Amino acid sequence: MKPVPTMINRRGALAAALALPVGLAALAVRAAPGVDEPPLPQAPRPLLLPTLAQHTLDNGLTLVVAPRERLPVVSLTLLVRAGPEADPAGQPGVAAMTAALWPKGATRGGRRVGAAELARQAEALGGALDAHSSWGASTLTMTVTTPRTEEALALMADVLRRPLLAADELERARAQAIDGLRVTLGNPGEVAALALRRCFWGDVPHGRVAPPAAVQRLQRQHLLAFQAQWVRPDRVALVLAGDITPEQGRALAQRLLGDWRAPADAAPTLALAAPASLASALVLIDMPGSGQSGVAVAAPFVASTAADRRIGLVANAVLGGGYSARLNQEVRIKRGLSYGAFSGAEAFAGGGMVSAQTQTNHPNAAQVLQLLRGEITRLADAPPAADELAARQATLIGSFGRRLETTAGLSALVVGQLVNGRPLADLATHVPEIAAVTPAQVQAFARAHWAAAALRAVVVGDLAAAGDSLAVLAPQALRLTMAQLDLERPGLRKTP
Amino acid sequence: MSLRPNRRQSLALMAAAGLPAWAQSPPAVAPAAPAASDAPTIVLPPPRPPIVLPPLALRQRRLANGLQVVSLPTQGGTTVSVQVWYRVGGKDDPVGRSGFAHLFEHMMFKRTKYMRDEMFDRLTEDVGGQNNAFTAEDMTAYQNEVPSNHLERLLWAEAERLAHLQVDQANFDSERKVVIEELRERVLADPYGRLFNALPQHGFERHPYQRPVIGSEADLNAATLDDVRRFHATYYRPDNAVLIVVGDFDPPQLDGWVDRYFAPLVTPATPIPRVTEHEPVRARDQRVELKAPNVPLPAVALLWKGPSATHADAAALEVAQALLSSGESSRLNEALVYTAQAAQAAGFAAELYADGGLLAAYAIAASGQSLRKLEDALLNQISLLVRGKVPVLEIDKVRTQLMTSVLLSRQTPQGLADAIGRAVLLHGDAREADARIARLQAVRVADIQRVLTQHVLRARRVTIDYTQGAAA
Repeated sequence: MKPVPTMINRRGALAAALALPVGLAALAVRAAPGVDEPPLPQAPRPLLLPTLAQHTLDNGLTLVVAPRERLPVVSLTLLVRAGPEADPAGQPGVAAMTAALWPKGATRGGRRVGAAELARQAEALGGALDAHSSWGASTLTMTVTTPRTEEALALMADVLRRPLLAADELERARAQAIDGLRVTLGNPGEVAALALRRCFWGDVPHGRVAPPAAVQRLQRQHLLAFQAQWVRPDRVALVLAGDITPEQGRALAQRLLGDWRAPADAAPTLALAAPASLASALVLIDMPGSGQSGVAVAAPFVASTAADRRIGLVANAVLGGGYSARLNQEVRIKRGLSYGAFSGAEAFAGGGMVSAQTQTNHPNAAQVLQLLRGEITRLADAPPAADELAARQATLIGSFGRRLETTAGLSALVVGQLVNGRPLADLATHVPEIAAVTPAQVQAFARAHWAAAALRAVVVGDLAAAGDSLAVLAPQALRLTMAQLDLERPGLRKTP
Repeated sequence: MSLRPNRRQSLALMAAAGLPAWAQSPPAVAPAAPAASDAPTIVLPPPRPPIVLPPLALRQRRLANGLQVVSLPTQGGTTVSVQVWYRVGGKDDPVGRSGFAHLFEHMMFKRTKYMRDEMFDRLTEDVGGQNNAFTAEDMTAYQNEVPSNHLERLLWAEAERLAHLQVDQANFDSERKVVIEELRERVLADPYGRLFNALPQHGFERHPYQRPVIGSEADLNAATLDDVRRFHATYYRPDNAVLIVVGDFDPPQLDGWVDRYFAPLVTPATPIPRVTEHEPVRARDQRVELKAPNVPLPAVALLWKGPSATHADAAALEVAQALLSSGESSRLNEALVYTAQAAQAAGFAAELYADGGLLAAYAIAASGQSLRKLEDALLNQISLLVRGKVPVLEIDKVRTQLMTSVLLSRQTPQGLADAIGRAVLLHGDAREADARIARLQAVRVADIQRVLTQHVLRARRVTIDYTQGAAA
């Protein structure tokens, strides 16, 4: 058992965050704190990261216990280190469908238990059994009260190790997924996000999405093959966060997962690739009658292993990581063009993407597109001022701290480290490294990665209502109707 | 289910962007019994020690100016939640100004006498905290969470915007545009936004609850700066507010700061106007055809009038809601979505407000399914719950679900403060945050069957069909 320390002191970051444009001494003369300006803050309190205990069972299964005893609650996560990247070429959707079918039937105590009974068993424990697959991992999660921890893990272990992956359940889930996709594809913001992924990453694993036709082609053999290849104890981790000690967690894991044998062959690893963006810098998708236009712009981000990934996180925070960040300042606060404009970063071993996204009234789409692109490229010439940078660093640090408040948030932090293949000790360096980033480093990051030529953009909306401004903006844009859009094809256009 | 407009856009969409398309759809398939695999065995859960929740150690006081203060110190964290809840909501929108209370909420983040525009963001987000606000039918809540060493600054700032809000035309025009984009995003761009926005319009006949809290574009455009000043003077006063502080703080220090910043605020002598409208009992059934562009799958909603949040039947209706639609194994999901595969999603919601409520059963059709069949299936499931047997294990499940969700919401200062705010605003008593749990646990099957009979099966309803077509 390898305890990872730590106590993180927020003092540096917070002191920086409070630096005001005018010196405090001068302010004290002119203004009265607590009367016509805010009173001064008290001394900051240190942020405490719980002691994390990591252990590997004999069969290679990773266990992490993150104790937090304030309330009688435990969040449990079983994760398999394989997500949609593991889908075979030409057949997206396998990992997601396999995970979706885990709770739809399993062998328990030698008996086949169907989906309805499994759901009743899970929900009788108080928490839903959530299963899903996202980049890097397919997971089962539950949060239950302490006395139900063992029953919950027993259920999750059966579901992961002995799922039925039954043909009739595949049929049901397929019909559900296709109906769900019809809803997704009716929303301009969601279509913009999907098409942007395709445009930016191109035909590599992280660029693939599974539209209805791909879901229609899924066969039970695909799911069985995924299960056989990836679901083995040396690709699995168990994370227990909450009202449980490392000793209890270890005993529980040994009892319920210790008898699981790994196959003799070496565990497989995920194939990863760098982005290979679509040639068109702008894609316009016509959705007549849609309530708004979805506008999305992607820019390169660094790989999860890159030394400057935390500089990148700060750069993204300055760009669009919060209400007061530049994108929302320009689009919402200054101009009232949208309810909100934000950006998010994703980083994998092969590379990463920042995506900036918003929704607006159709006639504003061209202006909003220019604002999003402009703010991304402007960072190279206009680094953040000291107070702007300090504020965005504080935002990142504060959001990290709030995740430690709940068992589910704590668990998600640990899962993130495991999925990215990073040591847990890394969590202890998060706050000081974020706080140490300088304006010059942010500017250098933007110069290196956010040139205009590297951007890709998508607008989805009622193009007639948007008028000619979009067309004027980019005569070279790829224009598609929803009927012509094929999200499976790297070029996005359906073959006639 | 109701649209609750708030200041901030959710980042959920960005977070979900990494998933393959269909993984983003609402949780799909629900379980029912494939005959072969579901042999009827009864597995009784082993006895477990009951979860005992100690009552919240609430501290309560009321200042001479009428401000109510509820605080709760908690151990082990380094943040504090500072919230101010006002007894004013969508029902108080002036005539011809639907959406105004919510538009006003946005203005509270602009300028005050001693704070520049958006200074709340400097005091919260910029130091590692967060702020948000929401407007509901009966209330408007401002919810901040900050590192606990910033508590005094937030108290100063909340008192400042209660007392000294300043508005100007440029800020008002800009924020109105933001709110109209919020309306478009929630109501027009979301394929089912128009349906959920229509529920109060058809569910209520007389009470101002029939105006959606988000309002209409025309009414928002009609609002003036004078409306803003008048609204602030009318409703934003100490005796119409509740200050809630939860988390890492020192109680005597808090009391001193509250005295310093809030006690000097003056309460006007004029009474606060209150909505006194009573909603009549619905006299006859009604059918509504609602059409919108880009409706991927048709949907149906059945609406009944419900009792108020303080009514004796409220707890039983909340448990009925859980039995019908909480989780994959809930009755509507198991019957309509899983077994019959007639619906893509189905649910039942008891939305109980201060002066009355709305009960809604709804379903989004699976491909090729008729809305009439769905309507019958929704009604059948409610009848089955009323007339059939309800296994002890099913009631136990719902009690455990409710208890677990209470515990989860109590993990953060914001969650605790939110529970206290609802208790005070809707029940007039912060201790209702605890009492509610005991009341929910005490609900019996006979109570559920009685309230559903009275408020649903024997009541008149409105049926809304939502389909693709040119919007009226």
